[in-house]
Amino acid sequence: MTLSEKYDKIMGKIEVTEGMRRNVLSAVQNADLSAGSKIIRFPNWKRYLSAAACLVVIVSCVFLGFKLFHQTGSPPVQASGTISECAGIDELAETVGFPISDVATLPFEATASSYISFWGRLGQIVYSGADGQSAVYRKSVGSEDNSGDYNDYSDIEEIKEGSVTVTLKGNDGLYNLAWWTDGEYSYSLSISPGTDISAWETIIEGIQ
Amino acid sequence: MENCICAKPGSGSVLRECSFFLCGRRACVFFARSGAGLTDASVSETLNRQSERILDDYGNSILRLAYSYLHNQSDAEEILQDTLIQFLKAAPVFENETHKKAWLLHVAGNLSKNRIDFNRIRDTDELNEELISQEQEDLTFVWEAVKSLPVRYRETIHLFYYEGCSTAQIAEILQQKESTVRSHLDRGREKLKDILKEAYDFE
Repeated sequence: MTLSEKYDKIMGKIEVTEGMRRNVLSAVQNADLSAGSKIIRFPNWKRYLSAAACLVVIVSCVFLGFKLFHQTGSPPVQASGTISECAGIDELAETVGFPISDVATLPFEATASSYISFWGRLGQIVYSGADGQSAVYRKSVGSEDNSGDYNDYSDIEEIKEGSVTVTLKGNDGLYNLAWWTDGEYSYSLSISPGTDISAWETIIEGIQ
Repeated sequence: MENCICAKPGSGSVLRECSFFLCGRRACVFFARSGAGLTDASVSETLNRQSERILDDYGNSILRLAYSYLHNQSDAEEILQDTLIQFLKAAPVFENETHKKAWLLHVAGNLSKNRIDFNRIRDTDELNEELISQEQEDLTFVWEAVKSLPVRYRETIHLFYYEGCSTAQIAEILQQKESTVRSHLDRGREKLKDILKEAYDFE
């Protein structure tokens, strides 16, 4: 028996009995059915609490406004740098200031690629295949995850490739995302459609 | 409502000619108050017949939904009664029976949720006691698991599996987005799986 059937069986035990029916009908007969509006009053403590909350918000706004108005010193400075498209891998490496190479071991043949520098700190290469496949390879200085992929994946695996540990993320045994760091640089490669672990090992070996 | 207005006031057959659905309580009250010749007895009879019809058609659904929220027979009975009163007061007109049921379940759900906040005193769960006394351990286990779900998951599970509502209908009844309903359904199922250790599957 499925859970659904069990739940049906449980609910079947609850029913309107004759006694209940009589009670309900009698209550309805005696009920005041005039369509007057119902006034629901807030309890006093809720009223006072609401007023106090409003007061706190007003005082905070006044205080912050005063602080901002009288703020001295230099205004906040936005981080410099831009997102720029580069003509090729050499220009990308020059713009970001660290070595970066094409991914030679993709699981599909790339028919187009684009090279982008993010703020001169992160290099990205996007590859597209003839049948809608795509790959995004990123490299940046540091050891933070630079994939920018915040999807929830059901399968997460770690594999060792040389001296680094690569985290693979995907669903149903096919992995779409790999991220790893060698301590100095952070690397990520996102591939669509996903592929299995052995194919990933070959891909990452080619990058290493 | 149109049927009521067109009928001749004072005629003894006015109420019989009215469709129960189109002739709401407001119209009846209007005729009664305006001295249109309707007796208290005929108004009372009409109300009674409307109430009986709702009880016959939807009484169990309303009662079971209320019980799924409140886990108490007396509370569920009061919700059934209040839902009926709301129906007679509002005298809503519906396109079809599905809308009518959705309206009743929506009202019953809201009244039940209000009562959850208002009344946390009663702990008697007659259904659980009955299951235990009948030594139906498997059903007791399932009922306890469903009871332990947060209200938002429980109401969705009940409407989907017991009432057989689609996610779109549940969204209408609970006044939520359909995506929210789907998410609550998935999470509710996951939680049940965790609690029941995959002993059962919803199908």
